[in-house]
Formats: sequence, C-alpha cells, structure tokens
Amino acid sequence: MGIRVENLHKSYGPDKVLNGLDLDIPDRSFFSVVAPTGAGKTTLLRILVGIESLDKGTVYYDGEDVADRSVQERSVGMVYQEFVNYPSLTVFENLASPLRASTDLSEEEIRQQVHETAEMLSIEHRLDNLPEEVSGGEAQRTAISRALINEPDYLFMDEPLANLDYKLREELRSEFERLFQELETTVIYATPISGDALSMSTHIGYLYDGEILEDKPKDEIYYRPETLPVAEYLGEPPMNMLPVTVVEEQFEPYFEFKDGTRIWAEGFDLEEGKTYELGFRPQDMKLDGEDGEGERTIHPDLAFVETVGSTSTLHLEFQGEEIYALSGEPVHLDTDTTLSYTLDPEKLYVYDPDSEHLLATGDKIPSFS
Amino acid sequence: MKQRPWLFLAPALILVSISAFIPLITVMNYSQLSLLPGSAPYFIGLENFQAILRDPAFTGALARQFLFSILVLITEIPLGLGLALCMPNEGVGVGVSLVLLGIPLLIPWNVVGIIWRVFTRSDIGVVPEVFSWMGMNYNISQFTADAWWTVLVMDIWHWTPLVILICFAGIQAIPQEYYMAAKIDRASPWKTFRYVTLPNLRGVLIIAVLLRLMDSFKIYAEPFVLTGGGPGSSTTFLSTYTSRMAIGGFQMGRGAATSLIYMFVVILLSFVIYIIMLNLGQGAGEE
Repeated sequence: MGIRVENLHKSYGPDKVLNGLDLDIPDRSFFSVVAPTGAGKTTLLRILVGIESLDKGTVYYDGEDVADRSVQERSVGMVYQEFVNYPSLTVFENLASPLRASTDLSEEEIRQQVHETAEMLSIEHRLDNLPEEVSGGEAQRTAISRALINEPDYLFMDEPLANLDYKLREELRSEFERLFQELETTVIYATPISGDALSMSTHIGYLYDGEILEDKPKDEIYYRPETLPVAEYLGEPPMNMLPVTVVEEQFEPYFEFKDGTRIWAEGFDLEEGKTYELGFRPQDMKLDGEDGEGERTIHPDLAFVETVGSTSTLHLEFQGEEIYALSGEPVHLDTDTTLSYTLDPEKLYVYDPDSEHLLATGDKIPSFS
Repeated sequence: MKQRPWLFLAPALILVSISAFIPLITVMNYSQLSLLPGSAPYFIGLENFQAILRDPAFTGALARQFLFSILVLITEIPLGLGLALCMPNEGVGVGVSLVLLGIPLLIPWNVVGIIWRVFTRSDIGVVPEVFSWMGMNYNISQFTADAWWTVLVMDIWHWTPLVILICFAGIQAIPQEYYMAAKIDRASPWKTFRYVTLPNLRGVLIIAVLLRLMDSFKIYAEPFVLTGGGPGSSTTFLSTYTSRMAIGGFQMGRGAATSLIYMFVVILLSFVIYIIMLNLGQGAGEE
C-alpha cells in the first residue's frame, strides 16, 4: 500500500534530474522528501502526482501501476510554494470548486463540507473574502483546504511554508502535525529545511544526486544516518564531521585530528593508519566536561554565538573547519576564546570517506535492525 | 539636499513642459480667441466652444468616433486574446510568431493607409476585383458601408497584433501552478480559462483596452490617406475634423477648442473604462 516508485528517470535536455530513483512511501505516513534547493524535489512530486511526464520507471499507487491514470483519475491534492487560489473567486467558492467539478453534491452538502474543512484549517471567518484580501498564511490555508476538501488519498505539498514568515511557519508546522495525525491522508511533503521534516514527518527520504539515498522512519534516519550526505544535512544544526586518522598507542586506538589532537576511540575496532570521517552531534558536546579516563577533549575557537531565546548555537572553528555546538542555556562568552569540549565516545559516528557509508558507531547510538 | 530629486527630475520636466505643457497652455489660450487670418486676434470667451458643440459636423464626427472605437474594441480585444491563447508557448514557433506579428506594428500609419489604398483602388486594387468575381460592387469612394468596414478591417489588421503581444506576455506570466491546480481540481477547459486565465489577465487586459481605446480615438493618418474622410464625411473622425478646422479651415481658435473637447472626451472615457474594468471580475463568483 502507499506509493512505490521504481527506477525513475527524468531529464530536461542534458540535465539528468532523477536518475534511477526508488522510493517507498508507506500508507498514511507523513513522508518528507528532503534535499537542498534544486535537487529535483519539485520534479519528483510532480511526476508522482501525474502532472509531469517521466522518461522511464514505474509509479505504483496501492500496488497499482498508474502510468495510464491521468491526474484527474488519481485521488490526489497538491499544495504549492506559491499561494495558488482562483483569484476572482471567494475563499468559499475556492473551496467549493473541486467539489463542484467532480461530485454531484447538493448545494447544502457542499456548504456543509466547505464549512467543515474551513473550520479544520481555521479560515471560517474568511469564507466571504477574495484570496487577495486575506493574509499569506490564510491564502495558503485556503489552498490546503482546497486540496483536502475532496478527501484525497494522497496530499502532495511542495514547500508550502517557504513563502511564509517565521512565526506563521512555526504555527502551521505544529498545526500540520496535529491535522495529519487525525486525517487518513498520506502526505508527501517536499522541503529543504531539515527542521520542518524532523518536526512533522513520520518518514524521511533524502534526495541526492537524482536518487533517494535513504528513506526510513524519522528516528531511524536521524539517529542512524547510514550515509555521509544525510548525516551532514539532517539536524538543526547538522552533525559535525571532521577527518581523523586512527592511531594506536599502547594497544589503545585513538582518533587523531589534523593538528595532532587525539581522542580515545574506546570500543571502536578500526584499521590503524586509515583516514575516516568522524561525526558527532552538536548536542552531544559538553563544554568544560570531565575528561574521565583517557583523552576526550578538543579545543575549538569560538567564532560567534547565535542565541535564540534560551538556547544558543555556538559556531566554532576547529582545524580550519566550522563546527557547531548547542547549549541549553544562553551563552555569554567572548569570541576568539578557545573552549574545551568533551566528546562522548559512545555517541560518535565513523564514516568511510570513500564509500560515504557508516562504518561504526558508539554504543549509545541505536541500531534499529 | 532636499532639492536633489528635483535636480534629477529637471531634464524630464523640461522636456515634458516643452512638448506638452506649453502647447497645452497655448491651445487653451487660442481656444478663447478669435484667430482668423488677416485680422488681429481678440478674446471671445467660450464662443468657440458653443459654436463647435452646435456644429452638426462635430457631433457627427464624435458619434462616428464612438462607434468606431467601440467596434475596434469589441473585435480586437477578443480576437487578440483568442489568438494569443493559440500561440505556441515554446520552441522556435514563439520567435517566428512574434516577428510576424510585429511586422504590422513596425509599418508607419500613413504607409499602412497607402498599402490599403492600393489594395482597394477601383482600377488596380485586389479587393474590388475579388468582390466583382463574387458579383458584388465594391467602391470605397462611393459606398459608405464599404469605406467603413475597410477602415475597420485595416485597423484590426494593423493593431490586433499589439493586443496579441500584450495578452501573450500576460499569459506567459501566469504561474504554471495555477493550471496544475485547476487540472487536479478537475476543472473543465472553459472553467480553467474563466477562473484562471481571465482573472490573471485582468491587469494586462485593462492596459490593452485603454491603449486601443485611446489610440483608436486618435486615429488619423490611415483613414486620411485611405478615404480622405469620405465618401462625404462618412469616415471623418474627430481627429480629421479637428485638423480640418484648424488647418484647412484656417480657424485656429475653433480648432484649439475642438482639441480641448477632444482631450477631455478621451480622458473621461479612459477613466470610466478603467474604473469599470477594475471592478469587473471582482466578486464574479456569485453566479
């Protein structure tokens, strides 16, 4: 059940946008397609809906090949980044239009359905207004209501919050979460913002180089990203990634950074002398922590601090690379001071720089299999 | 430093004042004078205006002008919009069509008049020839109806491309998402046109209507060359009447007064049409 995609190819002239993409969207999930801008999210969504042609490959809805089913014959709704409503129709008529076009409901039934949907998205007080008279947030709520009013099996949303200001985005984000837990609709949501995906979705797929690099339940892809690009993208801020060489001293392995700083690779069984990418999450770094037994501390320089409310993101410079640290309380430190952070060896990720795959993790990283 | 904006505006203001304000004020001055050749000008107040408004040649020209502009608008706007919708929207076809459509717009008005005059000459013209094959008599210097529809067809040929180009640009600017949304909503082609294309084109259609209204109201060179305002005065429009009054008739004062009435009518009409079109389509959903 749900949507399955096999070996999807799509090019625009010489540009290969999708290149043998496979994807599995479970029924009734909130599936986020995450990728930086320009990676082909919009193309993928449009192909899945059926308003864009594909070069090669198969799309299945509930196990059924939908190649011959036009978009009108699929039970879908779509919301765009732009607020797309009929400009000359009132919000009420905008909501009613899909019902008028594809059902035989009586005027009374339409009225009831429109009011129900409008209430769900809190735009009941705007039903008599024209789209240009309502705020951006309300215009997008109207577009979402219009997409939902036919109770489609699949709702596609292509960066629906991108054109909204920060506060409205937060507001709609939490509302989406509540709304789609209640509805039976499967949501496919494209966004470049990993925070959006991590807060709302049940599943996340990362689109990279024309393929879905990983698609998994949210916790799984977040706590155990199997590939380097995913690890470096998901999370706010994302995982810190630094090159290290494994060295051995008195039969104990150490990760050695470029400048010679070492941290104890307790419990890791890795090839000596080889270079790896060492990952650790910003929230797993402890400022002025206990070194415990063995070396666990690095000494980055503080570049600047970004404080939002009661939490701070520290931008650090370590060996010429930018890394982040999170602090649960506001930080007041002078920039250009050298700090000392203790890393938890049980929360480290080790990636192979050549294959970009996860090789080993600390003991506290769940394994999910 | 508060004067700086004026400094930058000065060149434009000076040019506009030379080309528009000064002539306009001169015309206002002339309109209240008796300016006959051979006698000294003297002030006669609103007498020129009264004389013109009582002149049947003026009211006739004004009525013809209205009829002409209305006919121009109700043919050129739908025709232009329709053809713009049929235009190819990608590939080499776009460039080819745009160039072809641009050709009539590049030809000077009087040349257009001459081209059509050659077409319609009773001795060598192709139009009378074609009509005589069909057993019909065509002569623009004899029959009012022939002269009328020939002027009209000439204007349509000359100016519909402008409407097409304006509409085409407007259509290109409508985000594809609207059409996708309409498709997903299962809207019919007519409904898609009515509720997506048309409302989104409102702005450019207002511009097209105003441009064509004002331009058709000012039509001068083409009918002047083609029919010379005849037969009789049947294709004498306001501009022909004005120039005849001022230059041909040596009545500068009356000509100036006619110009002012003329200008007032154009401005008033444009304003009314603008207000009507602005409100059109608002709340059109309640059918």
